Amino acid sequence: MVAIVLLLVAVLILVLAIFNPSQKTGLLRKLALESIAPLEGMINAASTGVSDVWERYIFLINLGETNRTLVRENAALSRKINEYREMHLEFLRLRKLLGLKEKADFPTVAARVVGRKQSSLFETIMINKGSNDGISVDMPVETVYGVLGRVIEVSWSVSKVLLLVDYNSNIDTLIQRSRAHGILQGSGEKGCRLRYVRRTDDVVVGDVVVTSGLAGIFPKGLMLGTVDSVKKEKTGLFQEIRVSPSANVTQIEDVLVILGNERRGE
Amino acid sequence: MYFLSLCLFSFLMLIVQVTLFDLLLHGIVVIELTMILVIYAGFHLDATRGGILTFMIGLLYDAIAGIIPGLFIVVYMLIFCVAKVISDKVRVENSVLIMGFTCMSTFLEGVMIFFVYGVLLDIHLSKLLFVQVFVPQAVILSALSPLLFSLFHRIEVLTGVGESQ
Repeated sequence: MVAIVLLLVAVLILVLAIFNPSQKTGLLRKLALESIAPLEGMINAASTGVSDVWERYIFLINLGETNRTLVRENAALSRKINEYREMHLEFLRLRKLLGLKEKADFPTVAARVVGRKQSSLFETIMINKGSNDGISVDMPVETVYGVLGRVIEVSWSVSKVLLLVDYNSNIDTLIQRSRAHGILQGSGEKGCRLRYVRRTDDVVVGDVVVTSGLAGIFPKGLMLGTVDSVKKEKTGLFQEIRVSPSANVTQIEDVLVILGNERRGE
Repeated sequence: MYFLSLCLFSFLMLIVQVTLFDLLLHGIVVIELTMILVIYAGFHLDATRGGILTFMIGLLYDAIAGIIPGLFIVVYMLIFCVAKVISDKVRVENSVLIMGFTCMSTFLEGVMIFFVYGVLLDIHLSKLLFVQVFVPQAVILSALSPLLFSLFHRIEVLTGVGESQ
């Protein structure tokens, strides 16, 4: 009898969560997150320590070759930076001429990943910052390489982040070069699919995909990934596009949570 | 006392599941030890204590790993109820039965998740994904289930023999 009642309660929770999704994290879920996060953090810190010692002091094969490659890459990148600096200065002059508004810099909070993939189908991570640090649901999360996902649950000192490769993740996007519009949907370990891009739109392999800023969650122009493959079927309105995320979602240690978005306050 | 230690043990098991296994297996496959614990609860505990324990495990796992609140609680409660019904009718000490039921439960979980995604959330996951995710999980969990049942039984003996019955 008790089991049946509990089952009915569980079904009720599920139905409410699906048909009446709340922005707030319940007290029980907060307590569960708070109780497990410190232990996860401890285990992760210990394992990171061991792997750091292994990689920095013991496993040094090919270090010389890697160093030479990096020196070459560094020289090439320095040249590129110089080119971009020139372009940036030109851009600043042109913007001044056109009187365009300066892009806002959003305040961010740095956080450490304390828990990684914990379920077979859901792609989430846990970070060690929560509402005490100003984080709230739907805030974008990024790494130095690009967008990682968005916050879906917040407790006092822990938050859960839905990665952009999760099936539930949908991000409004633009192709940087051609400004073609689409929706980036997660497809698990395979990366992401760019959906609803018209057959006539110009998209090629290697194109950079950025946030469009339209849905009000992600600011405009954040790096999402690059186009991996483009397929146009004989029939149909849209192209079949695969995108490889720029942030490595399997090896994340530190992230940035973007606290403000000018659209949020509108 | 026995029930409290079982709750604590479940919590520790969940931590092992979401931390150590992820570190060792790099997310290639998720070993849901909690599911075997739920099946054990269905086979060996009474409906009240087993039900509460299952609900608690589902709630914790849901909070830590879930995206849709309540999904894991429903899945685990369903598995618990089916296990309870079976344990009332059949002798549940047989390893083959334990392995078979674990395998079936893993697929039930997969079907439930695919159902919620496809019917309620309108996100259509590929059938190949079901095979890629749940078949390895079912094989590993089924293989581990007799060993874990034996471990749970030892813990049961250590913490309070017979109280569960």
